[in-house]
Amino acid sequence: MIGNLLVHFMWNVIIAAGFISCVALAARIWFHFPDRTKDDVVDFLVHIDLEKAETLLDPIAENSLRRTLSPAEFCILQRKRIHLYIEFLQRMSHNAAILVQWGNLEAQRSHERTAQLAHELQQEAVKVRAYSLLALMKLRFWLLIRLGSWYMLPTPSLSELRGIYGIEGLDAYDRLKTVASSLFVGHEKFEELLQNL
Amino acid sequence: MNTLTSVLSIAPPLVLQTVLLWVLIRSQAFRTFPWFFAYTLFSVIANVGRFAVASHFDIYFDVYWVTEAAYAILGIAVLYEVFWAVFRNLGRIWWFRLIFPLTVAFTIMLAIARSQTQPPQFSNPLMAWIVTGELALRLLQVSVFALLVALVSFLGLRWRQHAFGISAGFGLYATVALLATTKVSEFGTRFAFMWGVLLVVAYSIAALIWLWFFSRPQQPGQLRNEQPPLSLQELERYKQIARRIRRR
Repeated sequence: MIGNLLVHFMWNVIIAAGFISCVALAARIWFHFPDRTKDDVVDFLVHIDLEKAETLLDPIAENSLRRTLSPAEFCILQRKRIHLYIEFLQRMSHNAAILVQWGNLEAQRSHERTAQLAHELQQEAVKVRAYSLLALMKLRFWLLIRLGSWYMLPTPSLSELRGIYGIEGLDAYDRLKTVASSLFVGHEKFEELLQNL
Repeated sequence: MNTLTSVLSIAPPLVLQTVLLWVLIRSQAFRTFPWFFAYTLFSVIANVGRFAVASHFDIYFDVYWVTEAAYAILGIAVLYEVFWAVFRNLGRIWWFRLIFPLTVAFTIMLAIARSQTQPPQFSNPLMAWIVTGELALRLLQVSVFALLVALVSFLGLRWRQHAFGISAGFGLYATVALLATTKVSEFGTRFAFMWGVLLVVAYSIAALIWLWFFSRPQQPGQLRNEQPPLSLQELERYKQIARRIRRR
């Protein structure tokens, strides 16, 4: 009985997914950004303070806060820190999306090293996007169930998010920055790119 | 099947598929998408065959089921080709390689589970298996299409790729076909004609989508080569210098 219901449910979910995808595709065709060139990168990037992000994930700093503050105070502070890291993750994900769109165009160039770097850029961007998505899901789940507010379980630790499923988030972003800068060399806005990433 | 019904159900897709075949030959798409080319060529031949024997029910019956089985096998090959055409650059990421086989396994399991709960009403067990296989293929087409739309949006890949167009056509048709199959099994044959018309319309739209994607250029021409980039080591040095300048 439950098996039948599950099969029926999954069947309908797939049909609904098909229709939603048709609508999403139509919307994408209608609203998409035209081919993103080098000139359309820098102005769309959002600055991320990576040193601050690194501090948020630092286990020593976090333990020190946990020890010095009362559980209630630490819980409130940790929620603020989670919100701040969510903001950084959203910016990382946004920047990776901009860079991969540009990488799509660069990957078509006939110069071998350019195409190779563009493929590398795509791969690093995918890792950053995957990391951001998974970390965001985890953080939003923590916020949803207000883990730590009940004092039955310890307040979740941000330093656990340094790596998810083998992807080291900040390292991946740093590699993405390096590859993007390498492809951007020679452009008049090179300095701006370094600052905005 | 009377002649008018067969003309209405076979002729529009046949005309569109023939035009598509011509476009594929002209754009030499058989080099990049050999399985999709084979699928289109086969669909033209199969539709001509079905059309030719439409007035002989026994022969039409055999031709229909044999060609349906061949469609199912070619359909899976096309989807495999499409998936790797879109994600070939990501093949080095290990979990990407698992996505397609896992999706195939999931859809086959779901189609078999459904055929157990609502068995296809055929006296011939071979036909029942062909229908189950066809349903599994439709599920796979919809799943791969939804997966592509989600991943392409998420990863920011190019939407104009031919592979994406192929998947979009299959996705639209398979979604309508799945819905029609589900509704026919729920309402019986009361609206069978209406669902039949809907399927022909959906397939014609799918063929139009393929025509649109393949008649547009895949790349915005050859891009001019600019100054080649530095190596990563050279760049690291350059970045260090830039950081020092910024701190002053």
